[in-house]
Amino acid sequence: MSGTGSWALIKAAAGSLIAHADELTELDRAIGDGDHGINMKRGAEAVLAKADSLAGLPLAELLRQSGMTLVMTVGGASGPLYGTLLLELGKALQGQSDPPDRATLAAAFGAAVAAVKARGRSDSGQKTLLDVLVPLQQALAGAQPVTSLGPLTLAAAAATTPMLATRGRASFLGERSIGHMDPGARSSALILVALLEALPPAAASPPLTP
Amino acid sequence: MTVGIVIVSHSPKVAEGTADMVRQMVGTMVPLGWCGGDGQGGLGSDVGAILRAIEAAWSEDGVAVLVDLGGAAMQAEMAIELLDEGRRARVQICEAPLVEGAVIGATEASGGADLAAVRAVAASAMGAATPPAWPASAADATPPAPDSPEPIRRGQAELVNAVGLHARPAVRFTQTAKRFQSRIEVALAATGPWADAKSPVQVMRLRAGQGRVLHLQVEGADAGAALDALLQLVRQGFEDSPGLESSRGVENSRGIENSRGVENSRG
Repeated sequence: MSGTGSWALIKAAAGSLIAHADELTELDRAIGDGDHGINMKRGAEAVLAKADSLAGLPLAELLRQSGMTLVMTVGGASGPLYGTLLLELGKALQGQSDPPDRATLAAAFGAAVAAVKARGRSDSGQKTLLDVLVPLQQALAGAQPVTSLGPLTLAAAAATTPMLATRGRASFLGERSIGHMDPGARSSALILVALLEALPPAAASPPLTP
Repeated sequence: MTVGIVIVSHSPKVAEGTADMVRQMVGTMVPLGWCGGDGQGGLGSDVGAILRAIEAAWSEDGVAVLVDLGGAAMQAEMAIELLDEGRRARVQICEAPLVEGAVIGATEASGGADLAAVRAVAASAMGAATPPAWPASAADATPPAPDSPEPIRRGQAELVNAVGLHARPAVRFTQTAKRFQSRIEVALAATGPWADAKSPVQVMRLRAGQGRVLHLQVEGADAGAALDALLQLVRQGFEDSPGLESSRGVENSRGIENSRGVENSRG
């Protein structure tokens, strides 16, 4: 999937982050330091600003370069975490069919999520972006129709609301972290839903096992 | 070449101030890089700046990275992964408090310690303010072999300078020791326990104040010259060793050493 197809994915994800920057900042103000929306927006804008050099790239390379841009511009823990996600996804898709079929995509996403776990020394259940990444990874590897993945992802982010944060900035708040949606879970859901909606038919349509 | 030290803080002021402390302790002999802030004028850390700091502190013998809070650690890890494969394995994060780890790690690096030793010493920095904790490598565990071809030379000298074997004199002492091939050990009693005279941290942990007598035992081809040089250094109060610092540095260090000296005498 070269050129405009891949770039459309990235553009959709970046656009969603920018559109929801205020909401992310509000969420982060409750249980973080209130800059998640601004930081993610800065990263998204930096990626969009490279449209001229990125738009023609094959998917794997595009993901790597976008990941590198996030690493260099987002800051905090989010920069390395989202950077790792995209860099590893790009690495895993290197040399694979482009666009990737669902099995390839599921395997690549699995590798990228494992890398995020290692980077954050974390796993699902700690009120972080992994509470979105892990359920999506499992659904992607299973038989769920692709149309169900977007709602599943948004619901996973919302499900962090009653959780107690034990990792990340919000964990400093202990019990006071309960009752607020995790900003990282929300931003990752925004990115992933935008990607899912913009996925080309080859990756999206046939579930592995009907 | 010595191991390089990189200081990464969320605050540029903390990073710069820590770098000042390292410089005052070891001068310019340890490659040093530091960075702080998010690159936008706020508190935070920045992968690009960390990469530049590693470049500034680059040493073929490796670079030890000290970080303050979680986000900086994650950013530093990311930066290390972005290095060329040849460099990646030679840059490692220290599990150590930022300021203490940087100062004591750089001090050990200035004695020619390898990266693993610098990391181990930095990690032990938490305990540096407590009474002597002998490192596992303490020389008393391995007495010289009885059939050694070289005779062991022994000598003693009283510490005449006001602060005794405090940080900077300890660094000078180990730097002098490092000029010789011989194995050199130092203790506060003729019976030990012996510390490696080439390890600044082991020497500092003797906590030897003014008036204490240092016992030296030296074994090796240049043992005589080594013993003479070290005894002379101690007896002259560390006065005439090659300068490590600017005049401003000397001025500052005097104040710091005095206050630490008071602290020591209380304990």
